[in-house]
Amino acid sequence: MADVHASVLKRIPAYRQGLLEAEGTQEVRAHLRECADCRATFEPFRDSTEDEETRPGHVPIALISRWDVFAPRLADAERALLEGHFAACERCRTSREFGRSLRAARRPERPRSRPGWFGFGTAAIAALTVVAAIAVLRERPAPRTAVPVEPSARKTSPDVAPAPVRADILALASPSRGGLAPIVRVPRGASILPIRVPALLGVGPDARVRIRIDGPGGLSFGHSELAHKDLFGEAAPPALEAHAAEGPLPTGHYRVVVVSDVRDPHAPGSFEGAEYDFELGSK
Amino acid sequence: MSEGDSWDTRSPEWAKRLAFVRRVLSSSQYELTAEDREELAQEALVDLFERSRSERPHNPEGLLRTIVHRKAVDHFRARARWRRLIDGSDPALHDAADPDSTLSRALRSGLLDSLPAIAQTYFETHHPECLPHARTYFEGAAWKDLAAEKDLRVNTVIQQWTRCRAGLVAHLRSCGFGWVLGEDGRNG
Repeated sequence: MADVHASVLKRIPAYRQGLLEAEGTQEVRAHLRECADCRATFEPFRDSTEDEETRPGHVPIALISRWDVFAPRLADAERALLEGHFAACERCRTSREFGRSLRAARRPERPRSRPGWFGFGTAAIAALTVVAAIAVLRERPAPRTAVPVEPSARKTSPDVAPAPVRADILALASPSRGGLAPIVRVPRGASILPIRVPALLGVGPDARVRIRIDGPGGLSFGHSELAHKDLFGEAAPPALEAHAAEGPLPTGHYRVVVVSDVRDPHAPGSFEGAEYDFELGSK
Repeated sequence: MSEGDSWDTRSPEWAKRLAFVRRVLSSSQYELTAEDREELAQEALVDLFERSRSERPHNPEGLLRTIVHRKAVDHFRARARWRRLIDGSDPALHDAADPDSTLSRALRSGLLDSLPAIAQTYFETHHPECLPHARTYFEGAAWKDLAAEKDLRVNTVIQQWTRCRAGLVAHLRSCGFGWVLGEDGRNG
């Protein structure tokens, strides 16, 4: 009896598409009339899909949009049959090309335990390098090293007195991942630290980003709001400057928080962004 | 479509539309895995792209919401269909999908749903006289309308379709598509 059920279940898709011979059709129909379990299995096949209703006679979009994933899993003959349709159907062919371009532009999956935030290009490579370094440091603790800062684009003018002491630009590269924060050394008494922030991966140029700097004691040491595209490029101007309300910047732990206005699809209620931690020291 | 056109395939508007679809699919209304969410988002955009080629949508976000919702409904229905059929189990009992079987199910259902497209190409190439019958059959139209159009009796056009279908079935068998007829299994 189990064989009868299995035989009918196996033929349900063909029965639904009307591809069975008359005898097979009668057999399946009669069994479905008698068997409630098999009827329940057949029931979901009675509904038409959106594709069947709106674009009959074409390859379903579910298959088109994942063509590059599915194609290697198809038998040669199956692939040839579908390629035959693509060759004859401009609509399906163009949609497949569009699907391919979308997939190619798709950003890679990121770890979910904590939002993994990478910058573009070299920033992403630098981030991965630092993550790897942190993993090594966890196993074999080593003395902290100072993060080099780039030569400042603007120098203090000797004519202005008293001149604020401006540190060289700090180019952030690696979003924090819970390891040791790098040390940034600035000249003793520095009161301004220009900070360059890398762009966020997967966030478009027209998004807006807000950046804030929290420092020792939970105090704010600056904030800014700008277009995301202003962060693009390794030679982009500093996104903001950290400065104390008065006097030099205190040494201690700082955090730069970048938040865009683009929602994070993987974390409902939150937005795409990144955080960077560093320890400020003097030299 | 020109390069400055927001519906051009290279337009940055597509990234915004993708972000919008992701936001819609992240709603608690849809309980989706991250992977399913991404696939449905991509499908919705391909669907919107196709529609935009015939007529520019006046309210793209509204249309996208509708497309996304229908895609999600189809996704859940397809899951229910294939879990019962392949696993022989109640879909309600399996929330955590095995990625490989999910892909396999999606591939099988995609191939099966492609049969009308495959049939159309086959008839266009080998038996163009069967095309009206195939369209009538797969689009769920009435035989009597086709019969009236051809000035034939209904039984005659149904008999013609039976012969057309037999040719299609033989072609599917010869192309290794016998599994869709329930004749043998398909691996993977």
